Amino acid sequence: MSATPRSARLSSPGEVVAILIASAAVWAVVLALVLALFVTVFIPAIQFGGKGEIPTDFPVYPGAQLQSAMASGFSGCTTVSATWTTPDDALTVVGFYKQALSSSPWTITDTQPLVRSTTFYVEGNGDQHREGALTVEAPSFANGSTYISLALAKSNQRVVGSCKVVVGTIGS
Amino acid sequence: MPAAPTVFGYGDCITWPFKSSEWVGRVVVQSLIALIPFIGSMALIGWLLTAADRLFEGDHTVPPAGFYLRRGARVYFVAFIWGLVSAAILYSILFGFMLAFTNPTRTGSSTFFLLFGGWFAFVLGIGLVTHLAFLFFVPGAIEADSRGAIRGLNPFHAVADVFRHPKDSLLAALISYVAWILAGIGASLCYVGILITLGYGALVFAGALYVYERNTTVRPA
Repeated sequence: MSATPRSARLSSPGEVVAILIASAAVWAVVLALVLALFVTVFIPAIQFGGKGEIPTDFPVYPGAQLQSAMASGFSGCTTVSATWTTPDDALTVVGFYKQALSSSPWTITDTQPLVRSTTFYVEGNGDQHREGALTVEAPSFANGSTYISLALAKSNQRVVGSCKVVVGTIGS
Repeated sequence: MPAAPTVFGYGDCITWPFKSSEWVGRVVVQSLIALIPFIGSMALIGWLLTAADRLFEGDHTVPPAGFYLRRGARVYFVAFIWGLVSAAILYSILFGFMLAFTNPTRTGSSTFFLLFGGWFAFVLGIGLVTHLAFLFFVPGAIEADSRGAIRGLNPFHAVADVFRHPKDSLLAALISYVAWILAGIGASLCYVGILITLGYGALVFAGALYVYERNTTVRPA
């Protein structure tokens, strides 16, 4: 251990000022960097992390804006949740999906029309078995956007039957 | 026949501030100063090093509160840089895990289990590393104080000190751990309690610095 006399262990005023300014500047830069990373990388990665898991053959309403896409996987079963918005009215969107989901490889297994929303229960065949629900919800106020949400489970043929999504609203 | 004076040991680090009649006021004012961003931390480090200086001079009184910036600058600089490096490593791994968890389908399910195991290993690793780091706090602070800001950044000297003086390093680490708990306990129990415990924890650390440096520095015969 260096035996510098204790009385000599003083920094010059210039060093003190330089260290204080440098540490404050580094802190500000780090904070800005973390914020930038959070906004440009981290949040989009979480919000749209499941975008690649939306089946490429799944019909997306023309012009609808993807708002979120999340996916999770477990034991050969992948669950995808995605939401879109569109300025078009809900009836037009429902009409589009009624037609688009009735053609191969998609089949509508059930339809549940409610006051402000319509849910299509769908199944899709192909390399993977897909089943889930698509809900079209009318805007809750004038000039609002129509809300489209998808919850889909994808599985390979071996685990069919054990891979489901539960969709619904409490009380309905 | 007067009793021989007892040697100040690691156990005395906890109690020595109370021998000073004005310790409460000085600790409270110094803790208040320490709340100022950047300057406060430097002043607190300078104050605790001044307390260690006084102990070397045989003066067991708590130094008056103040802006001991010139005394604390070099250790503050080294602590700041190492804190920054540690935080960068820690948060990079943390964000990496969070991103991997939000995209589990890009990895297979077996990889997901590995990821889950990796997360537990990471949490365990943080606990292990932060506790082991206490071994290097006192030697690191003394090396930075005696060698200067830039040369103090070299971790080799502190690591060598720990291997050269394992018993003292372990005892100093335990006292530093107690000091760290004491410093934060005021904020945990009642937020303004930090005004007492932050400064007191710093004085306990000052005691550990003094005993470690006294015990490990080779003096000429």
